[in-house]
Amino acid sequence: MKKILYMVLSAVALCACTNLDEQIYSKIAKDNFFTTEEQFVKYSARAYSSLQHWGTEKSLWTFVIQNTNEVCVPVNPNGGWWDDGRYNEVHVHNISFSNRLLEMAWEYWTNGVTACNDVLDTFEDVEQDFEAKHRVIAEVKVLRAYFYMCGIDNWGSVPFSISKKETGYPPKKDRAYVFDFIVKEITENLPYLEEVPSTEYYGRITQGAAYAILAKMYLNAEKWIGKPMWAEAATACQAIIEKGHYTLAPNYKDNFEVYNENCPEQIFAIPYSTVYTTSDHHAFLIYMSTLPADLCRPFGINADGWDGLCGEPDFLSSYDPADTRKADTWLYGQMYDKDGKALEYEPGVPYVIDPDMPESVYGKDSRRGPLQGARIGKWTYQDDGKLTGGQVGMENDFFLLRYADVVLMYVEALVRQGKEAEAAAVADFKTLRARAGLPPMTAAQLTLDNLYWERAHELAIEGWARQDMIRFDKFLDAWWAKPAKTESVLLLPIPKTAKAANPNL
Amino acid sequence: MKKLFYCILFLFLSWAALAQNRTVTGVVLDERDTPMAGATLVAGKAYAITDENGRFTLQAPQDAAVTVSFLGYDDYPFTVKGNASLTIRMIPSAATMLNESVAIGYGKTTKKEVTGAVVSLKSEDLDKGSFTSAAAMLQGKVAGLTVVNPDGGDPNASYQFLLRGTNTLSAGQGPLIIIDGVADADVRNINFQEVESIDVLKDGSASAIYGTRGTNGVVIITTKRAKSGTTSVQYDGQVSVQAVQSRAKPMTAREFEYTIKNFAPGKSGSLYGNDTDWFKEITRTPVSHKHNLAISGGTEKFSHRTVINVEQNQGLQKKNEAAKYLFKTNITQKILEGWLELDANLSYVKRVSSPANYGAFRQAFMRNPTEPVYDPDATIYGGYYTLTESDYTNPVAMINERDARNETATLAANLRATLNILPVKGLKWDNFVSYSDEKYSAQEYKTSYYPSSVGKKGVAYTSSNAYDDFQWESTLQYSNVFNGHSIQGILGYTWQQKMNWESSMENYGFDSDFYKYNNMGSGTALKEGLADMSTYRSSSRYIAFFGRAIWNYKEKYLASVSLRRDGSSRFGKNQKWGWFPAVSLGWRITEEPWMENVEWLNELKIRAGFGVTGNQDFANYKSLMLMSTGTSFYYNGEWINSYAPASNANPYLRWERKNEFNVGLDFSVLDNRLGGTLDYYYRLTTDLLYEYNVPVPPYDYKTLFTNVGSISNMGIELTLYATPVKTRDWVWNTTLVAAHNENKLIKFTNEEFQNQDYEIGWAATPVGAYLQRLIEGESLGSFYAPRYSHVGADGSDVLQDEFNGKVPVTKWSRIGTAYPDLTLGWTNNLRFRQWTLSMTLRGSIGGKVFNSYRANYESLQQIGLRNILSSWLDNTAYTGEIRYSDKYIEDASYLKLDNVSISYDIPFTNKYLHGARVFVSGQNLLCITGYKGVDPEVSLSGLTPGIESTSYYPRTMTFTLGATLTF
Repeated sequence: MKKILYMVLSAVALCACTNLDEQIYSKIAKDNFFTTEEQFVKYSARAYSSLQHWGTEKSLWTFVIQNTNEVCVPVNPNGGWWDDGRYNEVHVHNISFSNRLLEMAWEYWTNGVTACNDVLDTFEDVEQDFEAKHRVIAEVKVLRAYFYMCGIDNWGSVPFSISKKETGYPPKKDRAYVFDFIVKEITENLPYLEEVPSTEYYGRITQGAAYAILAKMYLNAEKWIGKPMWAEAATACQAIIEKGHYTLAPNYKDNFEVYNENCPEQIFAIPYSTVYTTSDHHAFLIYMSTLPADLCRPFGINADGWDGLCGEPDFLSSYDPADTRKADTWLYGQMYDKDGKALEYEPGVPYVIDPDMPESVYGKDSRRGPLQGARIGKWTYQDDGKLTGGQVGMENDFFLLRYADVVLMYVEALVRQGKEAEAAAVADFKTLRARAGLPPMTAAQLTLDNLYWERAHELAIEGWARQDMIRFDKFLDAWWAKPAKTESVLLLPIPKTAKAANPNL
Repeated sequence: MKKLFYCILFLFLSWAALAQNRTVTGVVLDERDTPMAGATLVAGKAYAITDENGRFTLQAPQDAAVTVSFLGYDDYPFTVKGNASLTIRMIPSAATMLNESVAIGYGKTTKKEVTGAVVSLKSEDLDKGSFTSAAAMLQGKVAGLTVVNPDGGDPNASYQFLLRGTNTLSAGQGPLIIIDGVADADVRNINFQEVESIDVLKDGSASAIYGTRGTNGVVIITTKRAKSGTTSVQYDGQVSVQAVQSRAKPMTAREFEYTIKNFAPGKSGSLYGNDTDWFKEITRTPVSHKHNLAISGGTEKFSHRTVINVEQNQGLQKKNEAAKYLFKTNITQKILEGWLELDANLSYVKRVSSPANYGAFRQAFMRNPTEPVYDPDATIYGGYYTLTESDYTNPVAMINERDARNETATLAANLRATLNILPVKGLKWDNFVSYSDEKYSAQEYKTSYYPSSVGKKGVAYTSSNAYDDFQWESTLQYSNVFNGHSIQGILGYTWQQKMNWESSMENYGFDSDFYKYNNMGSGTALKEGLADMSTYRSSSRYIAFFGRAIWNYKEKYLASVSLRRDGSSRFGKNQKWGWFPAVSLGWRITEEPWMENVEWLNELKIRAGFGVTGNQDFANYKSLMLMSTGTSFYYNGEWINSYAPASNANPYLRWERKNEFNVGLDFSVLDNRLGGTLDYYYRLTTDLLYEYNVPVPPYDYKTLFTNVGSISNMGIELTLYATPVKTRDWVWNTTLVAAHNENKLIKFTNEEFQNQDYEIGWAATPVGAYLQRLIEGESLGSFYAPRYSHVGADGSDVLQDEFNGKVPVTKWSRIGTAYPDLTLGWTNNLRFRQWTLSMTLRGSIGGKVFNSYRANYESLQQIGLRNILSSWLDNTAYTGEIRYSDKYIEDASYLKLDNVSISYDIPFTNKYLHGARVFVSGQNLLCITGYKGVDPEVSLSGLTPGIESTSYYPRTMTFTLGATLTF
């Protein structure tokens, strides 16, 4: 009896499969992923694509432009965009650490760092050597330095982690420590980077991009680590200017066209596409955030815009009347459809947007009028009907770093060293002014105040205004619907979610 | 008139008195309507015995007292009143109930021998009426098992189960459902008329035999099987209509105008002068019908049963439908002189549905009632009156301009082969092989005028999924009785593999709405690179070895021991296998010799058990580091795919583990007229899975799915059944179930995961608050809110402990938990001759529910473009902003009249027709509650229970007329 039982049992056990390995079909196990050189190079795309978060509705970019004097978000005529005051908090510098926009701004740079770490760890584990390896590693290291710059720029001390292999919670490191790390990473890796911009290196870190990031670091060193480094900033800008790989585009607007990838002014671009970058975290969606529904269809956009972001009235009125950049940046006045026909808001009422709004329209219980508030019009709206709302983003590439910025940084670095005359003589600076319809600045005109407004108008809504306003001591001033504030607002609070995940913060 | 009546009565009586013998014919059926062969009818000297079809012919004098008897059943007495044709339904005697078989997983035992907390329901215990799912029949029937339907009158609604409290933070809460031996089966693939019995394994000692799938209990459903000896054809037909029982009531156009003119004149721009009842525009009176035909018959060695079922169910919302077509056949055969028994099943089930648009109910609620439905000038919007606001769409367009169709076809086949090893008495080797192939497809087309996609020129979507499930189970079983010792042993192995393949595609930009989803390639989005396409495949494997021994001595001392070694492919590399032991003991005190003289006590048994179970109901591949295609990147002039980790991998991922202790008491007194069961349990679940916040960097993503916390549940369950009335003509059976459970979150953190976000249940603007908190030492589902004080002079709510117009989060009070203190179910069956009245009441006492509709829409501030609750008019002093407070957290107690049905057995049978019965039933008739929202019975599963959804389906009552004919 027992024997039979035993025999049957062992028969069952023998034929019984005890294999519980998971079979994978639609994803790839990381262990078997890397087999060719091309795959390694393409893996760095993971780090670069985290930049595409920049242009979404909630990102570091949209945070920064609302945190400065450029953009405001009054409650729209239908009562939209109050959302528990999260936009208001950002504008009046009273940001709670659970603010969703703050959380998403934080995620832009932390996701960027972690993606770079992942790529670098992966490369480190690869034994075989190949031609592109060192260059790609250098690119990703400088890209990570850029993300860390975003971190110390806005938050000061930040959690510091440069490898996934480190265990435990990342420590919080102060600004000076991370500053030194960024500068060291960039200078060490610069020689390995590609020098000449080309189609192949479009959207990737080149020597030009590395120098431009370095220039930003030195330019802000006085505010960030209490150590002026103007001469170093000028040298970094010079390195770009002297090589002559970049020139100012003939027209200001060339930088912001739908198909702007061949613009000679771009140094470091985030390429976007209506087809390939369409998701909450990877799309350029400014048209949805700013345009009202009734302007979309006349513009050739098949969507109902959310009607939120407006130009701040004080900023709109700060332009020199001759400055063509105002109309190139903002939508105001009479609106025209894509064929150039003047639009009516209602029968008999022309669609004319007034950029001026009284401060009384701002607040929880107030509403902006439908024809009040300039809209963002800097990036040309494509009118081919491909923009259909939702997550479909714009085709225009976003120039994170462009030559005009470098020229202005160079001029500023000279002025800060007391070399106004030398600054006034910079040829590209004159070209830049002329392109905006303005005369060149004389040495006497090169005051810090004038320089600030020149940067503000040239680089409006491009995401650098927050550090610029701090550097020019403008950030704590009162402006439209925003009271004067004390220094505590110079650094942003670390978001609640990040604190919850890391006791060191 | 009266005179005439007496005249006729006199004539009738005198004629009756003259007659000597009457001929009574009829059929005798058991409690499951199966004809009973061999039942005896005795009337003095006259007697008759039923034939194989349960039929009899009895010659007896007028007024003779007849007794129908059958072993194990109560005698059925009746009086001869003239020639008649009767249908007699026998009731099993209470003493027999103890011998009723109970399914315990991989085997059977009897009610008196069972040592775990197991509830066994037979078809006659279940409600009569019309159900869209067999799961609904369990509502209020099992102490400790809460079955909730959060989707109201939706014919495609699915039911949620909650057994003995919430035992998990994020893994599944559904019980393991076994239908006719097939594990993890879909209850929607059977029809409720075919349910023969449902057994629920509640405690750990009973369900440990199912290892990592046992924590949420095991529901074993047995459908009616082929039986030898009888031949019958049975038809069941039903027609039902539904009416609204409860819904959220917005203001009518008149109320809306009145409110704006008198309280918010600044918003009179939102008065559009029409009177539209948006709810009426999108609903109808739904009519449903169901037909079931069962053909069965057989001999000693071969029997069969075939069922054909057709159902057409309409939903309250226009175009919302659900249909089911089922064909199932079961064949049993004995061959090789009793050595081999075969049981084969084949079924094909097709479910076709048109899903409801839940958003349309919400839009209909908040749509301005003074707006018209149509606007001939709005040509780009297809003639629907349209205001382009976010989250504001014309509900009529949402229904009319969308065509959605889902279809599920399941082909299932299984074979059980039992080899009786005859030389060894009681030894058999059982092999069960089951395969099911389910194909699911969904199609949806939103026309060029569908509100949120105007401009896209029609959006077509299709998806199709294929699920494959293969199971093999092999067991060696032995049972024997010697010298008063009864033993039952089993050793087994089980192997299950699931494969899943999914695909979907979406395209838009069609020249014409004519094609719908039938010419998807023609959309322009595909050519522009904006169409979507995806496929996905996954598989999981599950393997276990198990054994169990059951022993009793003279049915007095009972014991059961089981052990399972369980493994799943989902677990991390080093955590693939686990042990799941169980032991339970029982003592039937009434079997002791010294209890013989206690006559009033028929049965007294005490039981105790301990068992370990697990929960592995989470997604595949959670433990692996996988690369998935991320977003595209522009590389050297072209867009390429980027690759990124799919999630944070956790190679230590394992099942949640539950230890449960259960002690119970079964009793029966007063000649088995009153009986009951009392259970106490304590269950501790550890290694709870949850998505913990982790820092980025170094992690790739913000959360990690890992085993950390622990939860305990402790409770008492009581079941009482009684037969208060039992006379010749009247029988009243009643069953009361009651359960109390206490839930406690014991641990949520450990050294590694300490600083976590305890606030959960975010209610979006305008409420803007976290409703609940996870706090160690408290129950899950704990509501926290500021205390409401009164309406201030400015019309705003004043809250207690306000400081600078805010109540700091630290000052919020604990309002209570979503879980009820006591759940009740009360089932009654009252029989008078051929009439049967059954009634089920279900109640819940205690517990809190968040009234989302009041919190979002009972506010003057919200009126304007959008409508608000008409109940705002009850307190017009409140005009301020919505402030989250305990005024929106209401008591969830309720008493529901789930079911009332009256059936009548037509006392007419003949050669062809063996039985006929008609019934009417009403379901979901009444809800007595103090709750001001739609329905206090909301979802209790998940981490944030007790929150009424704003996207809801109205509750409906159902009235059904049905007939059963047996040939």
